[in-house]
Amino acid sequence: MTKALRKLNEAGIKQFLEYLDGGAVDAPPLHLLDDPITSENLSVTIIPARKDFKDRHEFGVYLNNLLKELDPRVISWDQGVWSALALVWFDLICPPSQGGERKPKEAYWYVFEKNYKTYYRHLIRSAWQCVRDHGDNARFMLTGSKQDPNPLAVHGEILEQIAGRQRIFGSRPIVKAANTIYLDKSTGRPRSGVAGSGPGSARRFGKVVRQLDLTFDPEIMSVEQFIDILPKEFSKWKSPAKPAKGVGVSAAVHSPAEQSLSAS
Amino acid sequence: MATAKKHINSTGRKKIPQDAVEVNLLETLPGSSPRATAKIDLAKLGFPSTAGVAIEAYRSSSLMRFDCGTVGNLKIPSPLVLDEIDAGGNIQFRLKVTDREAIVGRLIGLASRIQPKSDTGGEGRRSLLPIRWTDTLGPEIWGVEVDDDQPPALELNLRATGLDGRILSDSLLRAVIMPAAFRIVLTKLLTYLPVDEEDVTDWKNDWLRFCREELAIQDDPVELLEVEDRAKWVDNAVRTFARRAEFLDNVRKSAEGSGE
Repeated sequence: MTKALRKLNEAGIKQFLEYLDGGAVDAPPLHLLDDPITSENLSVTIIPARKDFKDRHEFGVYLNNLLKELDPRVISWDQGVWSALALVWFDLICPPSQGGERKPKEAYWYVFEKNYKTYYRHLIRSAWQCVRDHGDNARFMLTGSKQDPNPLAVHGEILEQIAGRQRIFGSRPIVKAANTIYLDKSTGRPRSGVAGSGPGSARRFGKVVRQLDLTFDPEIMSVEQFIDILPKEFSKWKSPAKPAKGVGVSAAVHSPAEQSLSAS
Repeated sequence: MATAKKHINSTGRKKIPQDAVEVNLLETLPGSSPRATAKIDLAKLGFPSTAGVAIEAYRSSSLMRFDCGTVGNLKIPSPLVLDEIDAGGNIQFRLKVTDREAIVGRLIGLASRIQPKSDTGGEGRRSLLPIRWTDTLGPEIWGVEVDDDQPPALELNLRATGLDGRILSDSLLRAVIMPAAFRIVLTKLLTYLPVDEEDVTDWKNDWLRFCREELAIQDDPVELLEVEDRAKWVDNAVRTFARRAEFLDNVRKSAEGSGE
């Protein structure tokens, strides 16, 4: 898309939902973004042109730069903006198979819903929010342990476990600690086993930290202090990952744009 | 047989009663960040005087933390500027008291789900100048409705495509409209003076209090009898409001950000 983005209005949202309800059989209804009946101008000119993203973290960095002129407090819950962007990148977040068939998931993955149970799953907004709130420390939530052919279509288990718990997702120190133990710095991807359900997994992290949060205030603790109070089952993550064969350290070197968005 | 659910608190953490902390959301104008003040009274709860005190404001996963000093030496920021809390919903607060000596970070007191005092909808605060969409403005884009008996409203033309959202997010548009709207209301308000100060439902008292307490305008406009003095009072209030709201800085930042 090389045109300025317009946000979907109520009529546009309705037609996008109808397209999804119908199984997303035809090409995405991009015309909704041009028609003044279904969309409206934004206050600034935003051109979402790029389509090649290595992973959702890179996508989140791009989105934060793209939308930097809009007040993040205001757009954070703007259904029209997020749904319009989902339409723009629909081929990336709901890609067709080789036979041209799409398998859309529930509508809230594409049409933003102001529902606390599902809001964090929107495939565009979640990448933006993770990077907005946590910068480079969001990397473990927005990448998979292996390269996915359709990285923007994947909402991983790690993100589900962290973002689904508001007290945890809203805490920069906790997310920083999780990124510290779970990210393999040599690959820039989560360590193998984090996304499972066994001891020390992200699923367990969510449950354990919820309990610790009743006893400690992570906001005034250093990352090291917080990692120290994690129970034994997390011990295996406390030592650095062994370098993966054939993967250089350069994979974890980030662009200046990414670094500038890093959370403190 | 039904069994009662037991809540066990084996952490030694004290539950801080809700009346030990009071949070008031201040009246703010549309498009500006919410602000709040807080009062904390922990004197009778037996916490060590060196324990740290902090207030957290949150809405969904957006969170801001304000360090309030120690139990023995409270330093509550005033106002609490909630400029990182997502717009569009109720803001809640929690108060944390933490050990800073024996076990750093141990939570020794907590009050959660504190509702701010003014909760008249929107972001849990009463807007001095609510937005009202109307189709009665004809070709005009915006206007201000001011009446002696009714709180003023910023009227926006619902036929102005694209205006929805811009009034909140476009710093230039906000900078052009809000001081002008503010001036219109204050100028009209002066024609309604004096007001019954006991009448808490009178919007004019809200506005005068905002000028006095938030903008720190010392002069009482009731005592200003000369037309020129009243005009100066309005000028002073509008400029102070514009400075506090950082309209000019935000426009500059926006222009720099877009490479203009």
